[in-house]
Amino acid sequence: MFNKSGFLGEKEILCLTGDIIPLTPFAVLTPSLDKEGIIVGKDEFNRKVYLDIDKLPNSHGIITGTTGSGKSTLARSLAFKIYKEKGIKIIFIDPHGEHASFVRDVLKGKIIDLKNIPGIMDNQCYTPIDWSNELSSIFSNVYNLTDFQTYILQQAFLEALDKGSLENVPIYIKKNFYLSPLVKELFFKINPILSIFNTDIEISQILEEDAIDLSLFSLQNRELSRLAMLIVLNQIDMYMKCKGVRNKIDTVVIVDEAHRIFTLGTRNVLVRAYQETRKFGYSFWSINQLPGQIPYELYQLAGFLFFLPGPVEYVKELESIAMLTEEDRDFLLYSIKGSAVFIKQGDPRPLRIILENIKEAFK
Amino acid sequence: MDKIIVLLLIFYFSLLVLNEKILQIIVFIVLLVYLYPKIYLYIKERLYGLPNYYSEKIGKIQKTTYGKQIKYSLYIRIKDSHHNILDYSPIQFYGHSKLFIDGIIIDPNVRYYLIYLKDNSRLSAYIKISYITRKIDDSFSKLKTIYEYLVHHLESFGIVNEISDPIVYKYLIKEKSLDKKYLFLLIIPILFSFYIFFVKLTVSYVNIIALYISLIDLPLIRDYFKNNEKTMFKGEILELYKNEVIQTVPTVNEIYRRSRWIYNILNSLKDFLIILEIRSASEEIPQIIESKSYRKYELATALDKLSILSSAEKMYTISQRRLNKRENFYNIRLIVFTKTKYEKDNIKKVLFSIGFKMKKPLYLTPIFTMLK
Repeated sequence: MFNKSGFLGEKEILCLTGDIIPLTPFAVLTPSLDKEGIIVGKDEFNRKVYLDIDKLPNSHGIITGTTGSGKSTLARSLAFKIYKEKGIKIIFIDPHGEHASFVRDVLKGKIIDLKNIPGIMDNQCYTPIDWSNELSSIFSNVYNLTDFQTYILQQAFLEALDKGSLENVPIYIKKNFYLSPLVKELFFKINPILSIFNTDIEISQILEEDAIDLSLFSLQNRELSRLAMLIVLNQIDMYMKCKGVRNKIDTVVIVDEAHRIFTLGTRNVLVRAYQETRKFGYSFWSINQLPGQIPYELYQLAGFLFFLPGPVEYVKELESIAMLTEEDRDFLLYSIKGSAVFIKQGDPRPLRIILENIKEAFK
Repeated sequence: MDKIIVLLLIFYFSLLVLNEKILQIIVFIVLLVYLYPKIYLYIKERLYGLPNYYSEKIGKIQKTTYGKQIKYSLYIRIKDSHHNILDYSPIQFYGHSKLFIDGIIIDPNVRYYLIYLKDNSRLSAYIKISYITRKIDDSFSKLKTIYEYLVHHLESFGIVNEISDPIVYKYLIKEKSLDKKYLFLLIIPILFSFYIFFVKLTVSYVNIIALYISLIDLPLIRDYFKNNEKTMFKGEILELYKNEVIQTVPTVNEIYRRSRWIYNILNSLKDFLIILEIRSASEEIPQIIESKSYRKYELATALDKLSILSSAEKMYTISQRRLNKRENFYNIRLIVFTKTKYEKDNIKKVLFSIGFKMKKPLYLTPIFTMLK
């Protein structure tokens, strides 16, 4: 009916606008994907999905997933690819020591047991005042010190840095016992901890290696573990900034169990890095469990996010953070292990992907 | 095909009704004349492949010569679309897509093509604008004006585009040298026809068929000396032959859901080429449809025939859709090429589900014009 023969016997069919809507570019084309970087998996249309951290406006990342969802495996796999394909240095901050064998056997890197926390007296890139401020703030964060205690501790660290010996910290605190009973309390809190610091190793020596696992396994005490994580992260941050501005990423620091730090509040190096640090050639990739354990603004600041599958409450919380569609939500609720929703800055749509983790990452 | 059936029926009844044999033969000749181009094209394609239209590139414009007519084409590659169906609610999707189509087709003399080429899982999309003319003078400036308008239109929909070189459909076309050993196969029917025609010179069906065979065979022999290469299509081909959805009133949600099927199926296949040609339909079409629907309705009530009434209602639906939903009429052609039968079947099914009936065409020469 109403078909028409045209030029050279062509057969034309009559239609209305609505009939051809399913064939418009909006209905056929998928959003374009990066074609460079490391392969992280395949999307629902079997297209390869890449992560190119050099292209991201901010190369810090977040991997979120409940226990057993495959966060650490994904982090190891990404680390392996970025290390092998891009020659980027990898540093694991490893509270459970679970990445040690991977770093040793697969990346052929070095494992450093942080039972003796290094570099507390190493302030090459900070002035003594700044570093003492930073250290007292870390202690205050972990041990809930009062402002007065924090001030005394800062002065103690300042004197220790001036005299070049950590032993001056307890001496300085003791000298000020007369000021308040709070100083005595500070002494009893801090003195036992100071013995676990190793003042002989400098952070720059550690960071010489191409792949390192900074294992905190020996520090069973939760506070000590947090303290070690914060001091080491601060030192890495300081060291990298000291090297000057670089646009190309050369070091990735993977912080496992990052919620241990994030739950301490927003006044710490990790949160600061997501907010401020972009051009010093390194990035932090945080692995954490529940979405709410991270300050919400970090989800907006991170260059990329991986959300791994989990139960309903967890997915609902993710929905409130990211612009997840109904399909994304279902994917996270019902998909098998080894899948993820991947969000990159510059691409407003979450990608549902089947991860392509290397088999060595499962060790 | 409908016309062929009608002509066959007329011929059959002419045998029954007409007493004069000469009248019967006239009807028979009309039937044969009508079928002539189809039969000739069919045999010609089987023997010599597709016609090799001369095509050249002038800057970025493709110039193809079809006898005295020239077709100028410009390809615009869609580099990226900021929005796709997943970002839209059904009503937003319908609104954007409708504005997009109605906004593209601005010149009734220009042919617009939406081309989706998927080669080894890599999907590329193009918009081609073509202008067919006998004159060269105004073609370039016309294409330029349309292109400039289109760029703004596409950008307003978040479609990033660039002018592209004409697409060369290498994997679709297979060329081989023509086997020239079989000339005698073409000469035999001629000799046979001449024998019947001259030995038994009477007006009979046998003589008419013999003459008919010679009339088909002679140009084929002429073509035999013109062609050295045989151009063939590789793979599977489908052509749109019926649009069933035009007689229905799909809701916004239905259109959205159908589009999602298309999105899912096309993105899961590996290789295909889909070309949709869109042209503005004649301005008289709405009036023709309305008056036809009224005539059918009157006939249905007069004869008390439900089938005619139903047909009248379907036609009335078309004109109502245009008025109520402000949709425009277009003349379209749709072709699909795939490498495998699996892909062909999938696309055929999904297009059927959106109301487009596809079939394998009998001959491909008219389709070939969509490629060049």
